[in-house]
Amino acid sequence: MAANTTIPHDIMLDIFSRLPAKSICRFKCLSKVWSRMFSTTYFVNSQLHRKPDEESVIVISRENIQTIDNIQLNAVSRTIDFKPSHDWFRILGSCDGLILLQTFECRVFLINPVTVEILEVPPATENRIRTYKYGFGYDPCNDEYKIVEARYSMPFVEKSKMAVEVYNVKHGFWKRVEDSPFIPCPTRNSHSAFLNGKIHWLVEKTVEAGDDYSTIAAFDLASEAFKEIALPSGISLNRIIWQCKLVVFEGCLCIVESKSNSENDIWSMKQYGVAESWIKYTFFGDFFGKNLKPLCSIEDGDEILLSSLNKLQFYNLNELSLRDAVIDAGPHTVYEEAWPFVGSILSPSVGSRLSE
Amino acid sequence: MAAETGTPTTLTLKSNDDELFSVAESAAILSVTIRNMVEDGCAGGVIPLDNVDGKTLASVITYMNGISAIPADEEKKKSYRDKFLSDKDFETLADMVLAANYLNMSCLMDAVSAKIAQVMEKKSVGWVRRKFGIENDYTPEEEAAVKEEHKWTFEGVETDDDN
Repeated sequence: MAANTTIPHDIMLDIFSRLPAKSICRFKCLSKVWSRMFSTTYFVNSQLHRKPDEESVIVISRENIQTIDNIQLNAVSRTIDFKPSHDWFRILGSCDGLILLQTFECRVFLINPVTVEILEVPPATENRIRTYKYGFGYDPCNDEYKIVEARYSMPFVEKSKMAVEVYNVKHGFWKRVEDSPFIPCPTRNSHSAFLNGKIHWLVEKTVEAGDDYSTIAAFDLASEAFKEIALPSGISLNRIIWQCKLVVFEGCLCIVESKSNSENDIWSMKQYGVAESWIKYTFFGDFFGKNLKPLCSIEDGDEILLSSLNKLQFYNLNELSLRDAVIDAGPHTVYEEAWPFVGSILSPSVGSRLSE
Repeated sequence: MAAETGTPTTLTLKSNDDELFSVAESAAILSVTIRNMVEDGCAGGVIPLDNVDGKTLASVITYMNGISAIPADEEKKKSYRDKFLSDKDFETLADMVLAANYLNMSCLMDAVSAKIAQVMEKKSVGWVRRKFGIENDYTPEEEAAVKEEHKWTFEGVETDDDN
């Protein structure tokens, strides 16, 4: 058999669904028929389940958004040009290859960096201020992607509960849900972590007036209600406020506790929701700034890619050593924030996996 | 089946170009198609496999013998499959995927499909059109527009190696 191999259509479709998102976008040029095929929910969903893409990193600076692919070998960066351009402020969340971003003007966008699609999320309320907490994730019960905004009045002035609104990306509307029983941590970073259908934030809770404790709020996207996840018992509570952040790393909910320029603890909840399963790893090294965040582990290499203050570095778990990441065969440029993601061909405007 | 008597049963398979192959029944029944024939008692004489040529059947039998010699260890089976497919070119893999489909061998089917995707990943649009016999129904203008829209995905594409 040669050139005109007659592989049946369903087998071809199955083979194509094993390709990384970048290859599929290129193969939209094959023919109109195949381009339409690659846009069907069935195909997008099967590609999403197979997750053939390697983990990439998205980094933002005020002027642009870059993705870094092929991190392990010959890491290459790509600048994504959206027209019109925006002043990017921070990354709010990520799920299934879609990234939620905020601009300095407090506009919020959902993007797919591989297909270079962008969707502006309308504001929930008239006054969007930067102290909002956000989250983004997938609700498998209702097959809907949702954005969560938790609003609070200035935390240092008055400790109030957070008003919570949920944006349903599939249907395109905001809905006010029950207030959060938690109060926000007065922390600089408002990192959210999406895992297990829930969005997590570091927060505080008041037992009785004036008696607050730190904890993790878990907002369930299906029931649109909060639960609480206990912090590891060994964590230093006075650091929670300023020097901890919540991330998802290797499929586990993790708290990064920045102790000093040379020491950082990462607490990993090995079994989701099981308080006894928190395990502490200590990272030693000359970290550039204290703001360490693990991004992804590098296969076969016992190395972890992490971002410290505006820098990407590899941490070797065996040698406990640190080296700067080389991107585009040179030192990388300074950026504001880095976030790991796995590429997909999911369109930001569809808002679901299964329905057209 | 002959397991009770202690003598391994051998089946004779016939390719569509009339080549005959002997293979242990225990290995051959990795194919659900062959297993059904054996269970239905249709495997007494020669089993004709009308959709598989001799070259491909020889290769599939090598795989059947190799994989059935490995005890239940998914890691080892996977590494055998990887090694088995590592040096196969696109045409061989395409024949193999059709054979695996016809013979109903899901593990081989899955491994070959994954391997074809790996081979295709960095290939050009022209290469994939030729190999899969895909007809380009775009006008040159339409094609240029789609290409422009997905411009960055053309970075790092391999030079075609088939002409």
